[in-house]
Amino acid sequence: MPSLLAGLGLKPEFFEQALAERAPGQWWEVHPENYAVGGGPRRAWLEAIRREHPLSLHGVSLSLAGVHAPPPEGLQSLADLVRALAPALVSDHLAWSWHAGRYAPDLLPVQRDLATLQRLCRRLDEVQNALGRPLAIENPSHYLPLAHEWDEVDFLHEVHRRTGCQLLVDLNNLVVSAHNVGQDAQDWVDRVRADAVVELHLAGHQPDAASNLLIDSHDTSVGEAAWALHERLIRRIGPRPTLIERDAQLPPYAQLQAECARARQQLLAASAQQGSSHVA
Amino acid sequence: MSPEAMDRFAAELWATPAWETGHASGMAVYRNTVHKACLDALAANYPALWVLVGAPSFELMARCFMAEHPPSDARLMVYGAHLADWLAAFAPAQDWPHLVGVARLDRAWTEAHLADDAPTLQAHHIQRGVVGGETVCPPHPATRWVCDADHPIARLWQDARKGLTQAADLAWVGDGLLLTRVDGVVRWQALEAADRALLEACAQGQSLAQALAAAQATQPDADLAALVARCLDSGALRGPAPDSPLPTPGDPP
Repeated sequence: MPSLLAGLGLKPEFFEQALAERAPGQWWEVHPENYAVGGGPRRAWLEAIRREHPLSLHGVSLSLAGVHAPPPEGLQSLADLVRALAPALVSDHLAWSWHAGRYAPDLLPVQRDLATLQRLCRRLDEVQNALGRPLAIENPSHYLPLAHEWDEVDFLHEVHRRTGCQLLVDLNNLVVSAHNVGQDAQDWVDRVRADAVVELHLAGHQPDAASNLLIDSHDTSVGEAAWALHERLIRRIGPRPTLIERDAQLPPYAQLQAECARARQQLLAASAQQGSSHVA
Repeated sequence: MSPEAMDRFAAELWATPAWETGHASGMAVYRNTVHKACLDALAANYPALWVLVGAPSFELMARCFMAEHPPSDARLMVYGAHLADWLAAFAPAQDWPHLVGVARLDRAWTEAHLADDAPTLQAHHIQRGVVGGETVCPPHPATRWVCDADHPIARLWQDARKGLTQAADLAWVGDGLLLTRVDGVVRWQALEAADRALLEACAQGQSLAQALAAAQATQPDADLAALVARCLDSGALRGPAPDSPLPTPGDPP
């Protein structure tokens, strides 16, 4: 059985339940920016969770594709947390968020061209050297059609080849992007390299009537289209640690754990299938 | 996207007015996400101010603040560190000067919550002579104090944290609060003039004896024994680390 199965974003609302959770393969994800402090109760909560469970540090501010480097303190804080907590997974996004000294709290869109590729790879080298380990990068949701030179999968494969970074595949983002900019989600999951993928994300989204766009809102249950992509991907590449992302309109803890149980079931089925195919 | 295109994108992202009720375009999705995240962070970091001014006015104020001061730190839990100073000069808020002190108390809570750990001064340090009158005991990293000579900011802030707006029977006299962190939880208590004088003297590097003298001078009727007990109970002062004694005045830093 894989050691990491379904994970959940750690929220203060259910910290005690998270600490006591004993579901097989359970792990917890936090945004390291929320714990970039020298001490105090936040750091103590995180260390308490880490003593009981595997942890994922999922950053939102490394601004990997930006033209202006973020202040160095962010990467230093992340490196300190990685050293102190030895997380199972460390990731950020194919996006930018820092520009001219301002931090925009969002995952801003990246035009996939040669200049971006070179800039991204330089930044990834810097980040991975500072962390002393590979970083996984996540495909973001798309809301704007841009004049890309590269298909997203091919671009991520090239970044992986050049830097040794890993990939985090967000299946809800594929659903959202398929609707918004016409990406082919099934083709995406059928082509992504199995040896590069280390983590998967599942979340819910909302339609926006004014723009006819889907919004990656993380405020509702995982949609069936994302579940189907998850099953399709892990049937091909085998199980990967899968996060249930929920950041707003939090339901009762039991409901989130029910989604974790569904992910676990799919992951164990994929694991069994992989085992039987190896035997065959 | 070229650097010039990213300049244009960033400019459009922060353009004002940027409050759109729907996502009329892909660009609007990014803009609304950024602005909502900033607004949510300010509301979370200034919960008492949010209660006192109400959501619509808070949102208007936040829009103006964000336009002048977009985040420069990815830790949104510290976004708006200087909101109180900005509010003091914000023309539409001039008729409600007590809001500045309330905002300072909100910020003091955040700073107390996020501060580094350190040992606190305990009664046994004094009883065993580890700490004496000549010892310098600076405020604990989590200790904050805020007062307002003219407005009852402590009562307003405490009520607002319970979701209550201004009480009809509120006496409109100045007050203040001392915030400390005990076992990871931020706590607060009334701040007397003597407490403030003692804390300020300690923060300036004066010894405990000098700080107590300053407290007595500021408030001649102060009960110094009670003052020391309050400091010890609240963990307001930094204590000696087991292997590192606290300095005395004049020691090299």
